[in-house]
Amino acid sequence: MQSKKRRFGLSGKLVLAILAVGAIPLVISLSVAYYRGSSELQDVIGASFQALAEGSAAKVDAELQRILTVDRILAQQAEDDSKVRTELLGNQPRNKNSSVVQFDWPPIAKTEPVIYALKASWVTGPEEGSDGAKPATSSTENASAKVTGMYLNSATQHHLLQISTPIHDRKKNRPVGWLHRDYDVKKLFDPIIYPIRFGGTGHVMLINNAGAIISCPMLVTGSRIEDQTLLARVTKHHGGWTTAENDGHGRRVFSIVGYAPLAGVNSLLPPGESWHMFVWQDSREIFAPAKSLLIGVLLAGLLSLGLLVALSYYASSHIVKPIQRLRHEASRIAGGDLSQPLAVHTGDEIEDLAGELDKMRIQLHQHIGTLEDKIAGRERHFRAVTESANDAIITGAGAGASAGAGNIVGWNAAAERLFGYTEAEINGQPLTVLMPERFRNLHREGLARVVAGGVPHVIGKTVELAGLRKDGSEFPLEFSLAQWQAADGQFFTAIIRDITKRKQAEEALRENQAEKDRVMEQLIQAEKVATIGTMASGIGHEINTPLYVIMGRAEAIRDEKDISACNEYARDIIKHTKHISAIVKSLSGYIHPASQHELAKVDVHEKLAQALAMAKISLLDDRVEIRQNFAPVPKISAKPEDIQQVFFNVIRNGIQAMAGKKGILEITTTLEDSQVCIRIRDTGTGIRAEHLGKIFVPFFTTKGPDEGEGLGMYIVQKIVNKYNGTITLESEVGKGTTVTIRFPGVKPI
Amino acid sequence: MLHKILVVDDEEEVRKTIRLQLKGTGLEVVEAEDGEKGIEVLDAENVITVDAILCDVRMPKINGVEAVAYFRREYPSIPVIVLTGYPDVKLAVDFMKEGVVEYLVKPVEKEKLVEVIMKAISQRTFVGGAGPKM
Repeated sequence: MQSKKRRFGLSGKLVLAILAVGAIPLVISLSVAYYRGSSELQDVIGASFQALAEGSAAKVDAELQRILTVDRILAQQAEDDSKVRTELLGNQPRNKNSSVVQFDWPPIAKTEPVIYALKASWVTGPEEGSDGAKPATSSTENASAKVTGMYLNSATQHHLLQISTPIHDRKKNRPVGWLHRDYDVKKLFDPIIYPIRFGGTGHVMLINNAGAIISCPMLVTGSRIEDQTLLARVTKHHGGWTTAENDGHGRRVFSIVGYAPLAGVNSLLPPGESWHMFVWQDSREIFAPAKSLLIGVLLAGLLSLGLLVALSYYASSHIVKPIQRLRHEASRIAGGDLSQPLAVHTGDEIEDLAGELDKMRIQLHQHIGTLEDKIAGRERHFRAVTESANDAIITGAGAGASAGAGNIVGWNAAAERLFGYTEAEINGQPLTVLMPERFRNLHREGLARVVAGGVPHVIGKTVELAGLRKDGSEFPLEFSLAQWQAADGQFFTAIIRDITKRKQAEEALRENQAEKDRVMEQLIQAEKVATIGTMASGIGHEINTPLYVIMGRAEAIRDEKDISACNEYARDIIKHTKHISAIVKSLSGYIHPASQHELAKVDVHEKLAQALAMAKISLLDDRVEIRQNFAPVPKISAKPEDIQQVFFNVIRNGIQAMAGKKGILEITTTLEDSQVCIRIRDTGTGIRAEHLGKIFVPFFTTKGPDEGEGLGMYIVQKIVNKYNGTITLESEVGKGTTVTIRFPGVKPI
Repeated sequence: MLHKILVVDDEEEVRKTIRLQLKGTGLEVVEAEDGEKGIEVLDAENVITVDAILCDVRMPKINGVEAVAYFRREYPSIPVIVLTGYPDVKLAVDFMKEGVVEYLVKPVEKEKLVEVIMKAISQRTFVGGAGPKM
């Protein structure tokens, strides 16, 4: 996978790096060499072209000088030899109106076979020359031979150069005429220009400053150089060379051009006109050496690059091969073969690296060995725990396991004992065989949800269910389930415990608790009844007093004759009968067992008042001052008679502690931290420190035999605790006791 | 002969009942609404004119137990009858030890009450300090 991802191997990268390091300077140096070579070549060519132009110009100048000399000689002949002059003039038809005599020039041609003059004019007067040719000056006094014009011979399309030479009459010392000779330029200069050839295309060309080609071995005389830029650059007053994008021969190619003015000729030419020599060679030919230089350089570069590639490949393979070897060895280790040492002997850093890797291999080998030992130990531990466990440990396959979801794959000895199946019998069986029919659908639904990726609802919880033994009997069980993931799928392990005995014990405990509750209720009831017993005399008083009033009124009615008095007595009887009825009602309500009452929202102030009324029955006088500080408090949730019993017992204790003496019983209610707090304080004898801890112990009493059995405070505490309340006592001998009871209040909604 | 009876009881309804029961019997009723008042009535008279004391037990300020003890100590010649609602044997025994003539538990019939009072008056002794207060 890795090798697929990799685009460049190490070897490829090394070759690339070496190429980059070697090839870039090579290309740069080759480019510089080529650039400088071709630039120097240009200089050399340009200089030689210039020299050639200048040399050619000098030759043409010299030729022109020679022509001028010949003309002068001819002119002198005409001066010196009138016979010649006459012959010349006499043989020619005279035009009266013109002094110009035109004639061919055989005589001269005979004597000067090299001169390619087409014709000559002999002018007798100082007039202008023929054919528009103008004498250089109207006076021949100081005049010398001049080029007086160049024109095109329409017949030959050749340029004709007119040279005028004055003829002096030396005796009279005056000019007598002009010798005009027209020279065919090509014929005159071609012999000079044409032979100057070099290479295949190199040649010189004579042009004038207007771009007209005067003589060129390649171009027709009379054609022009149209490129004004090029023209301006080559028609300077000094020699030189230049490069141009135009070869002057009608092609737009890069060219090197040498040029030089014809100084001698130009001095004879009319002002504004000048002749120039132009040296040119086909650029392809010029740059042929440069091209071959380029090719040579390129070939050398390519050769160098090839060498670089080959060498770098060789070098990289030298570095990479040990690395590949190392990689191969490392992947062998990665594949788990840790036993063989890592053998790479290259004598360099690779070998060091291999050495380090081998150290890691050894450590890994040892580590894995240790781990394997540990795993084996764990496995033995796990087996020992599983097999020795008293609880059944059953493993079932989940999603992805080869055994199939919901089938048993693990079964310990306790499971065999519990369910009656051997491991061989049960392995591969669905878990449902272990559960009664009524649980199977629930199990299948749960399994389907878990296989679909859900989490079992029972994971991490302890669940009570029923199991099905091999013999078909059912038993209660408790199981906890763990889910775990292994390489070959998902599994569930359940730890299952037979809870038959525990269920029985719980049942017994529940029965026991119910029994205890019943006993406690009986005790509370007994205490109540006993309390009523101690109050019998007080209760009797409460009833007997109104009874006495009733009896007295009844006797009075019996003896009375006055009906209105009788009515009054009857009303008294009714009133006191109601009073007695109320007393009996309250007592009978109180005496009912608590099991017959219902939980209600109890107003503690009402119950305090009733308890106080009951407690006061036993008092013979009013020496105990009752103080009541009631704050608004919420109701509490309790059975009303229980609360009345609590308050009555505490208040009675307080009154009894003040036993017939003057004293204060203070009842305070407050709301403290959302708890209803009832504080009952007496100024009685107080409780001795050693008795304080025994106050809530049943049958502990400091009272006389007729005053109670020592169950009062025990029952008070039981009842207070039943309603999540608390009770605390503070007491000081001789000063009194304060009992504080706290109940959680019911939120007023 | 007209006899004067001191009735010590804090409840007007009870005193009224006694008045009704003794009406037309020749027994004159002097009322005191508690033990303290009863003692005051006796102590205020120069010559003892009270022939018998009918005393309740449960009363404010000075209760019957203390009042009777006082009467027996200060006026031993005046017979004391306790008339109370408490059907309490221990209390009855204590009062008998104190020397009361009778411990009557309410309700008591008119005839019975008159009989007890008349008997107490007839049996009163003047021995042992009976006579005007010193």
